[in-house]
Amino acid sequence: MMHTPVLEEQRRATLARALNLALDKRRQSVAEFPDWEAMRQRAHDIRAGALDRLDEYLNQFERAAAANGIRVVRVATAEEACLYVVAIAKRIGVTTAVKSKSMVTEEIHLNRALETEGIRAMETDLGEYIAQLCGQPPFHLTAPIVHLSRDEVGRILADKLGVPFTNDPTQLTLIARDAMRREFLTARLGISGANFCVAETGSLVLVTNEGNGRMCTTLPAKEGPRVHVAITGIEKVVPALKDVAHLLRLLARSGSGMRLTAYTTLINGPRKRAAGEETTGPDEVHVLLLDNGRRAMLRDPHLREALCCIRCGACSNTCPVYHRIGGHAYQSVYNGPIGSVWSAALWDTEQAATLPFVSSLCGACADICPVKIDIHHALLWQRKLAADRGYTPRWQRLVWWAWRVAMSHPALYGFGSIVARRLFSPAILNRLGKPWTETRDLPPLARKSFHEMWKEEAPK
Amino acid sequence: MQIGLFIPCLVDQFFPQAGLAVARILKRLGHSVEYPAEQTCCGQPAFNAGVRSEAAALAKRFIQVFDRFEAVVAPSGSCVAMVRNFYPELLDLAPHSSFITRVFEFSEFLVDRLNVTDLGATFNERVTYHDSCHLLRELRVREQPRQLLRAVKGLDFVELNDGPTCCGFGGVFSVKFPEVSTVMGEDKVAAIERTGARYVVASDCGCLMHIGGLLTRRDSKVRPIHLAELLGGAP
Repeated sequence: MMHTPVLEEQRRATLARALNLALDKRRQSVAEFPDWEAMRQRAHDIRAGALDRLDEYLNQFERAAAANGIRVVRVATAEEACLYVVAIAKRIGVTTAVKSKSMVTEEIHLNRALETEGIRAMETDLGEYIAQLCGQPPFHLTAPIVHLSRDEVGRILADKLGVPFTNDPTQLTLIARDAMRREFLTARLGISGANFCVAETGSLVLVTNEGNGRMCTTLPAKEGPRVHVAITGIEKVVPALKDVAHLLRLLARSGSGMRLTAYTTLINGPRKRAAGEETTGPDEVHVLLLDNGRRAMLRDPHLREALCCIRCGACSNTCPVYHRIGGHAYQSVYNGPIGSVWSAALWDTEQAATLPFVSSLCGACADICPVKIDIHHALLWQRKLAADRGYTPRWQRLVWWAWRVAMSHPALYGFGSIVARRLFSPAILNRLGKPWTETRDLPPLARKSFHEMWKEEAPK
Repeated sequence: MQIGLFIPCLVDQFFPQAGLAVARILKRLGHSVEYPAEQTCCGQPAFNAGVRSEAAALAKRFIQVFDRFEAVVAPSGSCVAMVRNFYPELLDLAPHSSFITRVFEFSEFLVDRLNVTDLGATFNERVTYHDSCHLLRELRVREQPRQLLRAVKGLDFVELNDGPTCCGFGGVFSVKFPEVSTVMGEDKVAAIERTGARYVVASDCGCLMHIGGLLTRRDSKVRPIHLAELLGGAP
């Protein structure tokens, strides 16, 4: 069984402050819409409708994007996606790429693949940049260093960049901006994800808060060929711009409580080269549409819903388990409630199969989800799949079998109940009940079970 | 009405008084209450563990035992949620099959089905209420227990301002991940103590067992009590 440590108290408090702030702001910004529930339903219908006709919309997107001069490539696996990006880097002769925050590139471990080829990928989302500086994976779907205090961020920057220590957020931002700006101005390879791919127009939609997404995708370098590669999952396609408009109303509100992210970028292709048309923008835009297990999710009616996810992170913000263990405990790129569903779907490993069990099934995640994914029911389904795949140890299956046999024979259950009553004093029960009873008492078994009491009660 | 009493395992073993209180209240309201002695478990623990074939065997059995009643009532939101929300998926039943719609949690049965909120109980204490997750989010029962509590004479009701969030029980979760579960429970207990209540009421014995186990471990003066027991005139 996976050991799931609880974060130490100080870290829990830092994390809770940040997550609760996001939840409070969410409550306020959601309250602006009396019809929020209907909006969630519509958002769900948009996403589910797109998945119902996924191939049709993907083809439409591909045609429209191609007409805009974007190269759309379908990639089946993480490896294929990484190879494609490496090949571009080599072709245009760069050793550095600037990256906007993207969970899909985390999923395929793109940075590692680039590094082995001698190409440095520089994260430019502030949180992601700091996570990269200290060699940590993102702690949260949308907030990679939500668990760090500004003192800690100050120390990391002082330590890694050799600048004087400060914990002033403005100063910290300026320090990071200084380090990034030089890279932005010379980078010729920009890598991003995409929040949505619009079938109608062939556009990519990118939401960011720091403007770094635009720097990574416009690439202001003066010399040499410049290429933007966007890597995203096949599930991110939506039919039309009006659908994006609706989803954007829910996305930032749910995640951070902001009405919109500071930047919403629509990318419609590379720089148009005809004289006097456009002076900025990359020479090439490539979109990689990644499967990597998504089609298998699509085929399973219980997991299909999870593909509706728009990666707002609200389910982590509200999850009482996530609050206590934090993102790194999941040991998976996708963490928190929806991350557990995804991880178990994408990776057939024991670690990933364990994640759906790290939940009390309280259902707070499903209640907050802006696209109404029944997250905790999907977790239950993943538990079934884990058992079917043999991730439940043989002895546990045996226990469940014995339990079922006892429960199928009331006489056996009744006998066990009477014997337990005679044998198990509270002291013995507390010893037998470890590890439960290391921190909690078990109540004493009632002197008589209900079953026994009813025999005396019934005639009354 | 011919009511079948569904007494989940935890109530049977640890909290039989809650079961008796349900029976007495329903009888007092003029209904015939029967406890089918061959009942055991609804199958939820195995279902939550992913071992669905074992759960399905017990689910089928459950329906056989209770099918003859006009209504089935249980002092547990979690076990009723198992029947109502998960049996259809588990046994391939229609979600509104006639059996499913006849199974009720105690407080929703009183308020929604029998239109009773005032049971004439008196309880001269400050009381707070813990929303158990399955009752709240699977069955969407939130107001009914509060209505019942507010009608109790002398009862000083205070809301538990913590979300509402899970107490950390989660069935097998509390055994598999005892540290996480405990920290969740400790925060819950702290919130309960902040209300100044003398009793914490819940409609699920899993939560009561977990919260109660933490309360006694830290020698708290707060006592856990099942809603039915409070309404039935105990302790």
